[in-house]
Amino acid sequence: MSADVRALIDRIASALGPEATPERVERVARAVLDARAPAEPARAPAPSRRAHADVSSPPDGATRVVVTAYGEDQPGVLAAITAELSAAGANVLDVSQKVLQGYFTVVLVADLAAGTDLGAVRQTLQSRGEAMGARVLLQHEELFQAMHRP
Amino acid sequence: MPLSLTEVLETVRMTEADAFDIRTVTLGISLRGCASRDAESTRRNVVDRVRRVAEHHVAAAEEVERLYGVRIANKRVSITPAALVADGFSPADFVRLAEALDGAAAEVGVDYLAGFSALVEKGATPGDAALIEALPEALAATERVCASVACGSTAAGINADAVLSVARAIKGMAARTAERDSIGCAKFVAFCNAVGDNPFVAGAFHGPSEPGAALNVGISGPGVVLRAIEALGPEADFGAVTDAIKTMAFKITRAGELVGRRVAERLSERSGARVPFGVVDISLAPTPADRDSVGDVLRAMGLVDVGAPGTTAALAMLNEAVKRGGLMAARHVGGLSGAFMPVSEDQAMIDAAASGHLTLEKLEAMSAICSVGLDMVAIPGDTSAETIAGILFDEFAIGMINDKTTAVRIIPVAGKGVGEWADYGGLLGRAPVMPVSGVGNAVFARRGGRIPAPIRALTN
Repeated sequence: MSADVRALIDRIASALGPEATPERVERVARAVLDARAPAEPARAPAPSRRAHADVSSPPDGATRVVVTAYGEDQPGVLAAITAELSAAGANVLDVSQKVLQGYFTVVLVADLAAGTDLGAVRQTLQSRGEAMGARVLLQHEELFQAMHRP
Repeated sequence: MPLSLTEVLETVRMTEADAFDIRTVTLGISLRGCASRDAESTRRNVVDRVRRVAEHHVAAAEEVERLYGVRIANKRVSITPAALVADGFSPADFVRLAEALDGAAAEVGVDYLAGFSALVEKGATPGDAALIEALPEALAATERVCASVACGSTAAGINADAVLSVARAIKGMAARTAERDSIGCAKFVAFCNAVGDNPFVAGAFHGPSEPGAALNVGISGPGVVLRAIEALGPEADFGAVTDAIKTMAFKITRAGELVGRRVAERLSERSGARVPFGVVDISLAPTPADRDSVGDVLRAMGLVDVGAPGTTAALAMLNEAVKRGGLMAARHVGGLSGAFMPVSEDQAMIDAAASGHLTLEKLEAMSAICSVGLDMVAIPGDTSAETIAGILFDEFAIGMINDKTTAVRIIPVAGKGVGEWADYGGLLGRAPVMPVSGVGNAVFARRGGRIPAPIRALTN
């Protein structure tokens, strides 16, 4: 197992906290790793996965987005989000999750390949989140860069 | 550096919990070249121009809204002051032009179309006079059209004839829309030192020196500033309060600049004609929504209510701090760019006016240091045109002498008196009818002519 995959699994396990059963960690990790599969052969190589999002620009034509979810803590939200992102062919670069006083927040940074219908991905994530009592947002990363990295 | 969780969540909290949005993306459209030999063909040219330039405005704005997850509350259009394009029209022609503009605005899907305006700082042409005469009917007959008249400036002084005509027109608007709490007056602003790149209604118009089209943005965000001040607690000194406001103003202005630029790009792509990005107007525009209130910001500074001694200083400080942060964040700042204090559109202002803590006279003092004057102020329906003219004169004197924009959007609510309410719903909100001084001023108001430009204007 390569070091970055091990680091990823450790991160997922610590993010899931007491909910971290081996099966759940595996499911989330698989979803994240699946997202690395190139959507098309011509796509530029994905940036190496590290504990933090790479700040270099996303690969050609890709859109870098920030996905935020928050709500009352319950198992499976992060897994649902990563599964949907995986299905959309997204490349997840960074995941942070915090649980405080029964409320969780998840922030993911991901690259969506050129041609991805952002609206459809947002809609799917929102519906999946709502069904689990979570609010999910998908926003172009440029907004955060403009506000916090002038 | 990668974004931190804290930074991401701060932005998300602004839009999710603190009512931060972009108040408006306003597409300014020049109508130069639309004037024709008769009213009908001029009207057709104007409508065609608005349709063509603004056809994709709403779609472009909605696309950007979705992309960044930041709400754009209003999509608007501003036009070259109508009196410049339609000089020679009769008042009836102007009413028909307003109706045609209203139709065009509905067709392209914008919330408001502003610029049914006349610039008469120094004097009025027959067209200007006809437009002012048409105002009550034009605003009663339309939904989306907003109007304004520039009555004075530091350079020109105050056109006293125009002030009295406008005061009478305000009475006319109130009467013509009596059944809707005189809402016609809510769509009209009288100005001193009007600006040609203001994205906010009702006073927006596309100035004669503007390009063929331009996209200007107005931000909102009192809720964000409120949270920043609340986080400081009561012990923080004014320097710390200034820093907190400045920091937030910077961030929301950056968001406004980004959204504005992207809307301009998308609009240019869709329409095939380049629409340049103009300015960010860094006014903190409130809404009647909870926490989205400039009045609450003033209270968070330590005033029990708006109107308490210290209110004017608190507003001055807020205004200054917003400017400091906003100027650093935007390439071009313009429009009105100062704190707004519309009485009906801000819950804390509504409460303060209703309880009597905030009076018209205190509002006038506050207007000396912010970007508007008396905004969305409801007064008794039986207030005379001369008294209204006096109120306009006072506001314009403040603007003229201080070389700043002052505006009046005042509503003598037909059939209502002090203690009653005017209710408009939506962004316009509701306003308690405020008492007005009844001391006579008729001779002064009717003198006419011009109040000369101040010494301050002689800078050459």
